[in-house]
Amino acid sequence: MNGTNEHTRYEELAAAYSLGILDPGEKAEFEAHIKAGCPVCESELPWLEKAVDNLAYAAPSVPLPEGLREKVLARFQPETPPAVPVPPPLQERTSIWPKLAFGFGIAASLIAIYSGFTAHNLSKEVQKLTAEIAGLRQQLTSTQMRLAFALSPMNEVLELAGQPVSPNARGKVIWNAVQGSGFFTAGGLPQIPEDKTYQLWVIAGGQPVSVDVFSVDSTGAVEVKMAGLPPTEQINAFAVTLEPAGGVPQPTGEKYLVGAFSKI
Amino acid sequence: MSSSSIDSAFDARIMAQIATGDPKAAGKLFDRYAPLAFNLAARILKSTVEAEEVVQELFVRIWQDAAKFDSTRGEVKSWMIQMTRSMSIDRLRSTSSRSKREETYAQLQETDNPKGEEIEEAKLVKAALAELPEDERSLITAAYFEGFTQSELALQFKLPLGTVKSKIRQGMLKMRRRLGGVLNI
Repeated sequence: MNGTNEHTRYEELAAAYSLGILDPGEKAEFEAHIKAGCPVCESELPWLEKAVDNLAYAAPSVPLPEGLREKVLARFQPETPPAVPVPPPLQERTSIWPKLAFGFGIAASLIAIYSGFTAHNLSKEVQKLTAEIAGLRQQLTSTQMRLAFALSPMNEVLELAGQPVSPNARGKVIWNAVQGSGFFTAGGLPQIPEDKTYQLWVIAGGQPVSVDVFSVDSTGAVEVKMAGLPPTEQINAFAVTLEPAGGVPQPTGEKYLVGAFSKI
Repeated sequence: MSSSSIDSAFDARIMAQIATGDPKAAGKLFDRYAPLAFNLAARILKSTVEAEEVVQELFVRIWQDAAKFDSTRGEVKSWMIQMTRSMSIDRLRSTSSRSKREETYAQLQETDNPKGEEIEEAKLVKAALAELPEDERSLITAAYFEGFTQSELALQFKLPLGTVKSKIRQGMLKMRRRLGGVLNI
């Protein structure tokens, strides 16, 4: 077998490798070939893998089950309160005393029911308190962050002005140039329909990048935590647009707030 | 910047927000990719019940691993697709009620699949697959959705192993030519 034919074989292996269907022996052989350095296969694999990923779109479209979103998001709890163990019902404990008199048994059962009820209530109370403590911790962290921002000499501040559709709206971004994180606050924004969302953008190097989507409270106010901002020297502006619910990769809707270092 | 790289940057930012514990970012990621993951898992497992379990498991893994995700080493979408496929095929191999699942899934497709709601990528990929010769299309879809190894494919399709390999490669090359310009392959 000459070199070209030999390599055709590896190209076929590359396609099967990217589909994850090679038998173990050939998989090891192909990986050794790549490890040894083959520019042809190295250039083949990225597009093959991308083509394979796109095969996922060939799956028939099936409606998402109702409630799946809620179930999935319910499991996203960064600070889930620890489960409080509930003591076993006292009835089980009384069962080890079979010789007790019938009357005493009734009394014990009543006590057990009462104790179980009390234990259940106590455990619910402990869970509620644990959740409240977690909430207070989050508030404290948030307050500490804001205080640190207020005191930091590395802060940048930019005011955002309302636009023709939102003349009464005002906003402000304050961020730490070193950490690339900060806060956006706004007030006076109009209420919007459920199928829409506000989306905050940072324009860096002339390119809008999504920071977050948000909704406002009944007074039109909001506070958004920002993270992963581009380097300050690249930031030209911040803006808020109205977009379809869930947000979009690039702005498509009307501007509601704009604040720029230079005109955009 | 291409729309694909804009999407990747958008997804990487969502992952960074998830890593900070932001529940809204978690919702955004779900809205963007849960339908794709669910369709894929349901197609592989031929069961919407099991697909629902896979999607839940997928997102739990994402919540756990968001901080470790390195956007310089790959795209969020690819990562999610690969995890969904891998988890689904693992389940497929570990369970034996395939025929029962197939019936339920086929019924669901007939009754619940609304026409005209497909996203652009799905239309393009399905059209590209439809243009392949029957044998290449069947081999590629069986390899991707059924989790068969190439030796199993050779047995299943009663073809020499070498033919299976070359037809899969030819089919993938045609897919690339057909989709390369539009899906950034």
